[in-house]
Amino acid sequence: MLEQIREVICNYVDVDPETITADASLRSDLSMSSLDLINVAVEIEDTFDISLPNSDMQNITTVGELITYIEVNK
Amino acid sequence: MNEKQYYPLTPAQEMIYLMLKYSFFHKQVTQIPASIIVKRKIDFDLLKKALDIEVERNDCLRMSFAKKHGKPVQSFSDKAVKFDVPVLTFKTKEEQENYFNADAQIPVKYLKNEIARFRFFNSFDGRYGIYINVFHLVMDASAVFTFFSDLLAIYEHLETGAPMPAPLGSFEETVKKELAYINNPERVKKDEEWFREFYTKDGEPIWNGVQGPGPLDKVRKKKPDKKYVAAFDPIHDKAELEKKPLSPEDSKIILDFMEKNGISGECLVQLGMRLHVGKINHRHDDTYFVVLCTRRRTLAEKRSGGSMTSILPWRLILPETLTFSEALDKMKAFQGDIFRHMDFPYNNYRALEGEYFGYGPADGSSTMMFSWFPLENSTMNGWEYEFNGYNLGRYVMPLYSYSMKDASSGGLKFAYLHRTAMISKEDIDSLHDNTVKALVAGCSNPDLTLGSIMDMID
Repeated sequence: MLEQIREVICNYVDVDPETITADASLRSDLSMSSLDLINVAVEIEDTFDISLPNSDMQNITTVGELITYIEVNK
Repeated sequence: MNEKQYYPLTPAQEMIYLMLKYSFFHKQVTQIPASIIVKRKIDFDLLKKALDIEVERNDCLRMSFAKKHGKPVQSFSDKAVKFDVPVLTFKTKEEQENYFNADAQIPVKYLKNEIARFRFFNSFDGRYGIYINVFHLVMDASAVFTFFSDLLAIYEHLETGAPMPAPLGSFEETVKKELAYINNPERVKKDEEWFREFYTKDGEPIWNGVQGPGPLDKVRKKKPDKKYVAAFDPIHDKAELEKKPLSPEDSKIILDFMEKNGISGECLVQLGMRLHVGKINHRHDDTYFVVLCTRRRTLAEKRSGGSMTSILPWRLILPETLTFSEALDKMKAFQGDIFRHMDFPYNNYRALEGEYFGYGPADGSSTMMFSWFPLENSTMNGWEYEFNGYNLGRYVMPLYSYSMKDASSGGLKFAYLHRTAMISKEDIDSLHDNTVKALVAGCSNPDLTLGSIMDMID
């Protein structure tokens, strides 16, 4: 799943895909703005057929937490 | 031979085109006149070569427009397009400002193969400048910043051999994507459901003009229950642009707060303005702003030309008992919600306002239209620069205010384009002074309630 997440994130921020690890912080390590987070949430909803409201996305701080959220809600 | 591919306007372009449609005397301008001025010496012959390369890379600069069956259509050319670029030299600041403000008011003749005008110039103070006046259906403000940044990076490549910047995204692809959205009834319906709930949950909004309750009081003499006025005026459309830089001290308080708390300029500046218009309109806590937000989501869209601005209705009820900080949380949450539905066309939500509140094409409950320009010190790839906008001279909307970081001073600056028949310079001075007071007070102590900040402002 990490590969799919990398693909999604790389559509929105200019980072080396290798830096997108489970421990990477979405805001500080990957420099994602609030708008980027919303866009990623929308694409993740489409890709994984889940619901990821903004309020939940705001509480997700790392790539690993995002993966866990998808696994739990899939 | 392939037949030329014509596209209809996207919803974002249609919104802008409305202003031309309501230009009864054909003097309305729908364009962005802007310049950047840099200290570093520019060889204008080399810059012209850089511009030719930029036109090859930036497909929006190869657009043309026509009318088919009375409606505007657009196309993209693969062939090289050359622009004539006069080089000007100015002796005084006044001469320079007057020249560009005059050019800003001359319509770009988009149906006669003119989509933009360029000027290179030796600024009165020894710096070097690049001016663009571009049809707004070709570029929005973000596209103008991308254009300047990419042009300077190409120039740097030609001058020093630095690597060429990454390729730009294609606006033609965005046009196709946006047209695919409006041809997908399921997606439009999903967004419409959100807007229907938005418009019905709090009932009809009430007028909150920057000139106070006067226009509504006048209308209410005949119709006491009315909550809106005729706010858009295609006839008395003369406009002035007021530019107001902030002091370094006030700027620092506001910018430090934004950075520390991760608050966008869109939310923060609006909150300051809302406190002023709320106070002068019987201390309403229900304020309606129209906010122009860029719809550039992906990296390719962020690095592309084109016009893809969403014009969004930000109606918020912010009771006086909320703290400054709580109000910003509420605004931030609203921003997140509406951004998910920002594709929904302006014309469609205006139709919903007609359906629910009885608004005609000229009616509205607010004068407030606002943009935050996403400019950073680093936007021009390390070049020290000053960004300037110029006066369009005419405007159908009552007021367009925008603010941004000012890379040349490190502070903030605000600008207000106001229709003078409806909104006076004094109204703008009062809006600006009180917005800054409210922002400084709130950013210095975010636990203050909105009511107590309203008490502090004039």
